[in-house]
Amino acid sequence: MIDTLLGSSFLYACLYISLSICCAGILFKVGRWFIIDTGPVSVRVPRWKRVTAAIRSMLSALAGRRALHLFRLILLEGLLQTRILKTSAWRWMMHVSIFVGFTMLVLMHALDEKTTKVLFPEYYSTLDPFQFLRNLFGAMVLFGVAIAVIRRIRFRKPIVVTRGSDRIAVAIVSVIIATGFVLEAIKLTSERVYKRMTEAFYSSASPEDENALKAYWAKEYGTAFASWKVTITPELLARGKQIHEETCASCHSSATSAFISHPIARAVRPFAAALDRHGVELWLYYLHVFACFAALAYFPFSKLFHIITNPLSIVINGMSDIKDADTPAAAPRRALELDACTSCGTCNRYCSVAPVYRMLGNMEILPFQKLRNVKALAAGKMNNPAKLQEVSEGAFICTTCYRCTEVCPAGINLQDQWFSSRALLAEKGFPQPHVWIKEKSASEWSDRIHYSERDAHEAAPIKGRYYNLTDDSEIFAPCIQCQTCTNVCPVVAARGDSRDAVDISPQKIMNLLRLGLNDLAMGSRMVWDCLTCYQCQEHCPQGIRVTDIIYELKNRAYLRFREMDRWKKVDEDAT
Amino acid sequence: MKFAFFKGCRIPYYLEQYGTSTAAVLKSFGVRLVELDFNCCGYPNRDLHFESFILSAARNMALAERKNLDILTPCKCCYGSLKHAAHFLRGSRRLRDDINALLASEGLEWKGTGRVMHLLTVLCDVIGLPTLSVAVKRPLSGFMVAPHYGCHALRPSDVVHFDDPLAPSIFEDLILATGARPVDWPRRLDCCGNPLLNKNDGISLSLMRTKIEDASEAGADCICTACTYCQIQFDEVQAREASRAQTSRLLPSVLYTQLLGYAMGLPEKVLGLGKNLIQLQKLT
Repeated sequence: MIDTLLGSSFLYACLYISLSICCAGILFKVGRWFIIDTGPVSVRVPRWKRVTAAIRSMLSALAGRRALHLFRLILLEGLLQTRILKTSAWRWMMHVSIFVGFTMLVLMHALDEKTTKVLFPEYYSTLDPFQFLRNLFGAMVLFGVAIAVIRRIRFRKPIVVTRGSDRIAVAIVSVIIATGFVLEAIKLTSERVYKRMTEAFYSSASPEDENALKAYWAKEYGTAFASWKVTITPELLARGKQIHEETCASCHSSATSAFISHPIARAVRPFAAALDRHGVELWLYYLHVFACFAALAYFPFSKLFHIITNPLSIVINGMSDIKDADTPAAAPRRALELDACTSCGTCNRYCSVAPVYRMLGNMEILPFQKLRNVKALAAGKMNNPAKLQEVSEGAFICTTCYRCTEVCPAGINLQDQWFSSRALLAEKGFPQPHVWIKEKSASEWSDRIHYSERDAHEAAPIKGRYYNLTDDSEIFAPCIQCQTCTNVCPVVAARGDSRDAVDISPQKIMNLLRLGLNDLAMGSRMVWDCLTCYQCQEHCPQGIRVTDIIYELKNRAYLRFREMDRWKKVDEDAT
Repeated sequence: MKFAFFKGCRIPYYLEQYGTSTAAVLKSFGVRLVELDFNCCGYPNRDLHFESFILSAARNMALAERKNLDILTPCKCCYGSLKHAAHFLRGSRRLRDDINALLASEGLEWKGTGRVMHLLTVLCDVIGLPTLSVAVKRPLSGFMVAPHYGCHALRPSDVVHFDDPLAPSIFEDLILATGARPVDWPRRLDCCGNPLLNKNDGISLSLMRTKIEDASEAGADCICTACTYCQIQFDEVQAREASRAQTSRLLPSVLYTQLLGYAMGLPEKVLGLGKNLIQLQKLT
């Protein structure tokens, strides 16, 4: 219907190229789900077993009453997206608008030859209700995109982190819809398009009739005719209407039902002649079509891919026991989930340890960032010890409270991701602080403190503390070394084999503080194996806050040790 | 009567039955529980970073204060953490100002006007033992229960104000109200070992075993807990360790709300006794 500059075979070639890139991309992505290794190395299963496990669980989902549950999941959480509704009505509206609008446009507009024409034999895209619907669906998509953009402006770091992929997704969808609207508007105003259509469908009997139809289209459709001066009389319009009804109306309903394109047409009308001269209509058409092709080719690699991964993740996790994830099917599921995350930030908003993030300032504490770390770890992209230390801190500060898993709109089993990534980090030598600190003895840590502080030329004192028990001799000086604390300490009593035994007793800690040897207490097993049961403090006849002192030693030690390179060899003679 | 219900981080995933049984028991005494947008109580991070612990706890208390509600928590570690934070905030003006400056970004302020109460205190002192006794429909006569106090509610007594730290009696009284008999066992005030789980399993499990043996020797049919962590230790961890060591000698552990709820005739669906990994044989 349009004289294409490059010919329709070229467009078809482009369509098939982008379609094949899309299909190959999908295959590549799905294939990777079975290849990517997440979680600890010790429990990894061979890849073929992952495939068979996935097939087995898919088949079992179709059996008996489980099929009913599957149907319910697809309907409620997949199509109606009730998981999003749980946390935010606005996001749900955004999502449903874009999803319904875009899907309908693809089906009834992009694939009109395949679907709409088959369903409605009288179909013409310029006929109502199709013309109206096209505008409606386009408007829905833009409405959704607008909410998405506003949301991303309103909620920023650390709640929502907007990256290139988010911007590209929004941009590509907006370009497709916006060019669609403007293209439709320009076609309405374009004399060139008018000429093309009348040449094809209307052979006029007289210049009078030609003028009549022009007058009618200029009035009703906003078509702009350059250097055309005719006095428009009601009679002329009536005649024009008659011709229109005879020739055009069977394919063209009133343009006002195009409630977005029509006002745009009115607005661009003064420039119609210039637009026509430069062939803008054609360029917009290409922009529109090539944006669609680009989106199609980019789809498997873009954020838009979540149209596939989210329902999959929702269904898989909805069908399986979320607490019993230790099966061969878990590996491909975890890999799929990494693709399903849309970085919507819902998990961050509900994170139970968000205040800890605010205080420590380590982004790796927040769930959204943690899932990205799982991805980086799986890709083998994370090897820097300092970075791994930060990631490990985040992983173990998480209290596995389950809230992020409950609210995740993509239905990702985040809880399982946290467990498996913790195990992997521990395997890599980055377990929780209580474990890595005890890998060295108290005196080794003490050496390292001296070494690193000499290395840094000056000791960085910990500033801004709100209470200071370990440097205030009035706190621990009253200790009479009566050993009550040691005698009531369950950790001291529980010393089993030498591996678990504590190195110094609580009363010795008081002694070290009195000697000013705080550094020697900070990395001690007694401090890091303290149960915080407060027996010592409760029983101290001198009222010394023994447990609080141990807490403070831990706090001070942790802030120092986390900054140290703990793999560096220390020249002990030099200290 | 209305409380802000502070569940803590562990109940939703690890110990659902504590949440449902607590809500059900309290509901039958006309107590309404409101769930606010709470975060972690701060306890797990007190080891590492004092300020993080205080901000976490203060935010929770400020949320409840904004609604003019007192906090009720079924977890002793959450209880201890919130009480400690309030204690430190009261003690230092500088700390209070700095924390409030951070809370202000959410329109919150810690004023220290709201109370933090443990579930057992609410049951014993607010609802009252006589009311509990009246509600008991099927007294658990002859049932021997070893009350496990839990450290963080009991000590340090000058901060937590729960009961007499050396000779507490609240738990025994509450067990008596169900018609069961509290067992006097030497280690009732000792730690369950859970704080060192995954940090030093040797000590953690040894403490747990010592306590279980002690309760068994004292003739207990079960241990009774009123703390999320203690229950996880005595139920889940004990069961896991037993299957690893292939021993069959197990001592069940029940939550106090399960025990009371059972005596009150509340349905199993809310009590979740079946969700405990080590099943009580004698009760049913």
